[in-house]
Amino acid sequence: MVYDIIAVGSGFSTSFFLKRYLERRRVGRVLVLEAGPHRDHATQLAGLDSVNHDAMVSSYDMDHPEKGWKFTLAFGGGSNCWWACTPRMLPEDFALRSRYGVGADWPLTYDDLETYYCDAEEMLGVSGDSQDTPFVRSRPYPQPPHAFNAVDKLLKAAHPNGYYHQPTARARRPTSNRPGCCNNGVCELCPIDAKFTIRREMRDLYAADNVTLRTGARVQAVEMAGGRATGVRWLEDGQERTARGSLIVLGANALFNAHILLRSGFEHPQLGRGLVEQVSQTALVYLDGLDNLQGSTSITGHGYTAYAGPHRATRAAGLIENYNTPVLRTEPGRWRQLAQFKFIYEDLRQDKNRIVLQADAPERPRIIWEGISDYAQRALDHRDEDLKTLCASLPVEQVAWLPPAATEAHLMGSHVMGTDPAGSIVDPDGVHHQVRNLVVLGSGSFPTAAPANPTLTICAIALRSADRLGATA
Amino acid sequence: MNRRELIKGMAAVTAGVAISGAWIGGARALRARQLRAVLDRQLAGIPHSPDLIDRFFREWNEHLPMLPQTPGDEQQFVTRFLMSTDLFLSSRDPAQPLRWVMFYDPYIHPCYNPLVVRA
Repeated sequence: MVYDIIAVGSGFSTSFFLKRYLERRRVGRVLVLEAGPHRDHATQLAGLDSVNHDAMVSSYDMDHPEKGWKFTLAFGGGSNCWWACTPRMLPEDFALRSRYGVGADWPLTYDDLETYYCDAEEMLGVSGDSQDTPFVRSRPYPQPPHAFNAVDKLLKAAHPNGYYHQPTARARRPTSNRPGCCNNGVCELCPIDAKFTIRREMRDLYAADNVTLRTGARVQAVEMAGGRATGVRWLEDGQERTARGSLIVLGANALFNAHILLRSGFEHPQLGRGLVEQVSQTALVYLDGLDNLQGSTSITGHGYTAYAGPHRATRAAGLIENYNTPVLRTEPGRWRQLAQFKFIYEDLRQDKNRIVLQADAPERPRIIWEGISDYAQRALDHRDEDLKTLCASLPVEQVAWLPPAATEAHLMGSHVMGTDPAGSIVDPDGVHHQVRNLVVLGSGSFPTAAPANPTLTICAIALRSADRLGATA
Repeated sequence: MNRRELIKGMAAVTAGVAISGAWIGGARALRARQLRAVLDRQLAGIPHSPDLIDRFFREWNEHLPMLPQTPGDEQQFVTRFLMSTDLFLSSRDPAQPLRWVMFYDPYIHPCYNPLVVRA
């Protein structure tokens, strides 16, 4: 069987790419290979597990167990376990090297992606404030913003140009596909399915007559001949299988995309290197006399007071999330006098953090993780000042920092994009520099790990790639 | 092993299980008393029905496998208890005893959150 497209993975990047590509071009048969199972919402609720945890932890090896990683190994990928936070990146995030002399510039600009950001927000049903936003926008958000809580309101008054409603794909209002968010605070596995999931909202794509989805299909390698990708090889039910395809699209995740390329025999100094995610730490801020937690979703506000600016020449930018999940104080009468702020700092790709093949277990990647950059560490060290700047207008009684989070669940950087084939794996369209019918999508292509959650940018880039490749194929 | 040794062994195992069970039961009862004191402290000065806390313990034991052990778990315990009452409802009359509403658990009553302002 020869397919027009073979896609690997069924998460955001492949699903958004396929959706747009199939709208743009008349395509014959499409094969989608998903390593995990199809786990419906009821199954996830029964096990209280949207990650498919046991399968996830047994899918790779690592040297440093104190460093957590997190992704869903199932149909729909990260859309199962994400919190549906959908900020855009800022224009300066795409030009970190030229603006601040650190990290790298992207081969794309904010303007290149703006219309695709709007398209992705439409598809995700993002709730946000179209008038008061840090982003230059050409179209409004499809849903209104969620209600602020008391702390948000004070912070907005204190930082009119540095504090905003969080854009989110947790529906403010019910849609034809899902109910509105009711702030139950357990977004990782929403009991009412109020966040965007591929499982629920893109089922038409996978139900199309010309699209075949195979779950439990763990891709081992891309098959090559004459400098072109000719198909893929995968394991399913313990059997090795192959299929031939005209266009191969890898959209597993930053871990497995790189691993598949390495197993396929691709060699490049940057392949598998530069694995990165943001770093974060949460502050519990005990308030004096201010009742909080009235907002209408789990994360209501976004602070940009530690994000843009000249400090990025020396320390990482930070995005601040105001958590509105219902956790109360235990001092009688002061139950609601609490705020939780998560400071999410960017990090830089470092060659030492990498994905490698292992001879004794070739089917599983090994992650070698040697730590965050000094750039990110300096930002963590600066967290008290960042908190003080943010909270100057709040009646703060005391602050307690939780330990840094083991993972932000945002793997990036392992098959970096660029215009120079010597320094990058794929071009700005996601096309492999040497193998022009091989597309590699997802946050593995990100040259930097900006503070903003990566999903919206993953979707926007996938839509752009589909538009451009669909027009030229 | 002869019959006498077998009987001795079985008796020893039975005694061990009983002692362990009693110890676990005792530890659980002690922890329950500690947690009850935590909840009593929350309600100091608030009129409430004496069976409010009993109701919460019954529901907790019905839905959750074990009592909280860490300070973080204890905070969740207090949160669940207070959110299960009408303490935060705008319709509450402070002169009336605190009332039970429903067990606060997003996976049992997904959209019951008395703190939310939907306007």
